[in-house]
Amino acid sequence: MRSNPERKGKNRMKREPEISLGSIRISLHAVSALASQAALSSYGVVGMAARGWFESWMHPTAKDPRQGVDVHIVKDKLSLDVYVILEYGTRISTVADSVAHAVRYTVEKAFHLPVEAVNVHVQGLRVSNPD
Amino acid sequence: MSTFRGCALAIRIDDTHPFGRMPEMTLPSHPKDLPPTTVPIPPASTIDGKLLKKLVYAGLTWLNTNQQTINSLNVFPVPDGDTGTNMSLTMQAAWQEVAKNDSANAGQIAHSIAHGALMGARGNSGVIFSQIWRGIARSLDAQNEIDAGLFARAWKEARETAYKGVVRPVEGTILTVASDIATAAEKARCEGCHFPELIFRVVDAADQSVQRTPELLPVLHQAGVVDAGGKGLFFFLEGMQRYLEGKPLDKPLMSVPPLSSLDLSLAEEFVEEGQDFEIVVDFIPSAPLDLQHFYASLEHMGTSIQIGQGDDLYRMHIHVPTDKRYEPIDFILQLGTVSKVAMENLQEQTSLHHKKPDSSDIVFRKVQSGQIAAVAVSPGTGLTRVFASLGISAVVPGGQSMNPSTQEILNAFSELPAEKIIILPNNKNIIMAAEQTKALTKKQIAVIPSRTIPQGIAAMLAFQNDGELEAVRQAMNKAIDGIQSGELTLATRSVEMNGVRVAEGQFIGMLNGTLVTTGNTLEESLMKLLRKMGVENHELVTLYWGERLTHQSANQLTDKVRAAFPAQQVESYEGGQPHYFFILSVE
Repeated sequence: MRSNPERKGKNRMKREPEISLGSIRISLHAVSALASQAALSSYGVVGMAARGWFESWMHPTAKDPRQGVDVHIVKDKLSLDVYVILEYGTRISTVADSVAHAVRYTVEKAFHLPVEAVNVHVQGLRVSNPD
Repeated sequence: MSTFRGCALAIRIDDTHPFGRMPEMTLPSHPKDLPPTTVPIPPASTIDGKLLKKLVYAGLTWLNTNQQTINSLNVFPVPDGDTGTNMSLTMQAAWQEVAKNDSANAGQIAHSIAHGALMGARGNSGVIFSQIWRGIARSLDAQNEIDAGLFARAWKEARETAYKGVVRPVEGTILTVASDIATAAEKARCEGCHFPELIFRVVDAADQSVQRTPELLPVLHQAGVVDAGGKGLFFFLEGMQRYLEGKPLDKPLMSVPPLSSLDLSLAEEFVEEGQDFEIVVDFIPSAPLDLQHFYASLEHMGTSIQIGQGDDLYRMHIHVPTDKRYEPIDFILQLGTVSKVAMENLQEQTSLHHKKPDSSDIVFRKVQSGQIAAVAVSPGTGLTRVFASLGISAVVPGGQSMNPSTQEILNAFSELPAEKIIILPNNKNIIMAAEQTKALTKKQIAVIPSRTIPQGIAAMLAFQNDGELEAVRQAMNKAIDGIQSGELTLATRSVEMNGVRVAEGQFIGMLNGTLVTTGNTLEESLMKLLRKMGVENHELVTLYWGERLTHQSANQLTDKVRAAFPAQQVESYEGGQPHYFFILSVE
């Protein structure tokens, strides 16, 4: 995972509060947790995808949903990669689109940080009912 | 019977509606084999492919007719609803697919619909809608006809397929409505119901389910609306019922908005050529009003028709040509007791209207290299003029609901010869965009965190062209603190915020960005807001009136403020801003 909490400093985003009492530091872990919650509540998403070949071989859908989100900081803006498993039989492009919107909206609203990009990676489909 | 089924909000949109006409969609061509919709279909115990196709077309038509009603069911105060449009477009794609299929086999038709809906699914509700159809199609398989048992099984499968598409299903949405429909279909089957009774039962269940959505989903309750996706599904099914009953599908059922949401001052701004008189009639109908017929009759007489209701009283507003000025009154006299008539000559009124402010004569302050230039975000011509008189060098058009981008702000000052720039965002949502210009230019930038126009103006009073950027920034920041800013606008929907209850169409007053007062008239809410701002303890009140007001009405209100607060100095300027009737400051 690129948003590793051990690498201190680099993976935190600092925000100047409007009233100067101190600074607010937001861990990228917090951002990825929220982003995956937003993705999971979108219709059509049935799980977050595990990263890495070993993990994904053991558990196709991530056990810790934070695993499905990578957060980067590009020029003081957040860039998110969201790895999802979708339900077979839904229109993939529309679902991916609404995932991107939901993630962006939720993150911007909660943290008040600008989101530059949300890249949705459809890592697999779950087939509940083959037609 | 399908009387009007308690929709939370119905807006009548005509050409003269202040917010303009919403984009319209074109319906696919009418299939030739549809019988005229005025002839009721004889009851049949099963549905075959041909009838299913007709029912789907009827559902789509009714959905299209009511899509604006669905769009208006927003959860957020900003008008951004598109659920109705999305569902309509999804079903329209389904129709285009099924129109090619002439099979009499119900299963094959359902598969075509499911395929078309999947390919054309738009938005969340569209995707769920397509999943519902997928479930129905799977359970129908290749059956020729749908009977009660198959109907119940199809809805059960639809429910299951729809719920499988999401990890955490949210109740109080279209999913709940689909689930309640499945339960009702099963119950109706057990009680030995047949078509078309089955469809009616399902429509009833959908209606009740939609009405319950606010109980299940708190955001809906707060916003005072029902779920838009569920309402869409209901309209689709109700279209089928209306078709079976032989009712028309192309005219939306209308509800009457409450009197408080009637804003006749807005209609005044949209006077058409030849519509010389404005007539407002208050009346009590002797029999329940047939709205469809009432509107249709009025449409022959004039334009800008608005109707509001309070208790038993109705209020009708219309613009008519001179020779027809008594017609609406005579017409309403036949319907009941007229309690009040108001008639105004619009030509006279409009000639008194001030012409739109012209921006061509505004002169910005010239700056030279080495000096400091100030750039402000301004929502209106009048405010730009005020800022220009205070010494800004460039302006970025924008404000509430039209936030300029970082690039637009950058463009405003990149050509200026000064290397030191001060930006006044004048809106809390623009501060961030203004800050981001720092990374994109070599110039020295200081952003003054002004959240309102009065703050920006107060800051400009402390502005100087020469000197150190940091010193000027500090002086301007300090000037912001001492000012109280108020804004007065209309509520776009009913809501409860900070313990203040607002109904749609009421005036709301905001103090430093927080909702503090409401009122039914502009004057009432202006006075309330001024009191909240603690005018008595200050010396100067400044009013900037917006584009929705005329010179005349702004002057009248200013005089009333002067009379109410004789100890204070009151100044009034034309701000020309949209949305806000007044922006005011007290210092």
